[in-house]
Amino acid sequence: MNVTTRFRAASAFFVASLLFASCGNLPPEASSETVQAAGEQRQPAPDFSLKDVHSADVQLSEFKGKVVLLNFWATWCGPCKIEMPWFVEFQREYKDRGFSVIAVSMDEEGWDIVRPFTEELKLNFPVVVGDDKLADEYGGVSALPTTFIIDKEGRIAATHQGLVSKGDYEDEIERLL
Amino acid sequence: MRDCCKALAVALLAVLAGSASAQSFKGFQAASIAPPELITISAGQQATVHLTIRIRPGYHINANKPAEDYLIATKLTWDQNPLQLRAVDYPEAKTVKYSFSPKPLLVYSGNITVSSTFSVPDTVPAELNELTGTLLYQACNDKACFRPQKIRVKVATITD
Repeated sequence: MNVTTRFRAASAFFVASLLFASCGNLPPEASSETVQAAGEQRQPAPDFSLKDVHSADVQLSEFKGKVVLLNFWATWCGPCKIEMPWFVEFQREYKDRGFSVIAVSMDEEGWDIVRPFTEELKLNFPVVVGDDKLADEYGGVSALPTTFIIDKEGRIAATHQGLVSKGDYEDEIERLL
Repeated sequence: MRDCCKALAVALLAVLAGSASAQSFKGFQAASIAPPELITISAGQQATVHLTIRIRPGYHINANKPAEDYLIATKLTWDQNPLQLRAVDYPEAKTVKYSFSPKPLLVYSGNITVSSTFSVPDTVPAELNELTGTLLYQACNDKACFRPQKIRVKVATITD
């Protein structure tokens, strides 16, 4: 392959990549989106400290050394309800291997509406109520569920907007543990 | 030429890094309101406002009376005005089964019309030149839901 051919190939690849990348910024005709980040490209997950249902502090940075599945959800979100039993199962299955789910409810009504839901589903992991500030720090979180898989160093390894398969989560968790 | 290839590679990496943090749903609006028609207000008569709500293909919003208690209903409310609100009529909802719900849901999709009927008093204040309100909706597609949105509604009026 001579230099000119290489340049043409690189240009074509670049243009194709631009088109591919720009798709991520278009209005979402696709119903869900997953972004994976390789080790060195991972960004730190913004730290936060919020109260759980028992008024205890839940601080993300205290989970460093664990793989964290950070899930933004709401009681009015149908797809979120599909995932919750999976997360209960993940928490049970992987907890002793250095894993935790943290669920951030985006319900504006707060604990009045979130508490009965957590009790009904017997959620076995920390649940906190989030706000716009936290959502902004995580890129807006306008679509729910939005789930971040955070590695043991506290960096975002994968981002899922919308419902994905249980198997996808399991693969990612297993890979990071 | 080699420098060009290097520059392309660097630019490509930058674009790909940017895409990793892209939030394609940010600021996304699944529904909008078509510009409403001017309404003529006649003393002692009824006035009806028809609002067309446009819902993006592939998305739905919950019906005014959703199938499940946990869902946020589509609701049009009007600010206080000299007219008396008689009724807000919503279209018939579609019954649709989604993979994320064990039960079929009652939803609106496509273009829908919500009609509001007002009684006009015998004397209409001359300064009345618009009716204002708020449309609350919460949209989903088959995989994700979007945070509840409020759209301000403004309907220009003219007095007979």
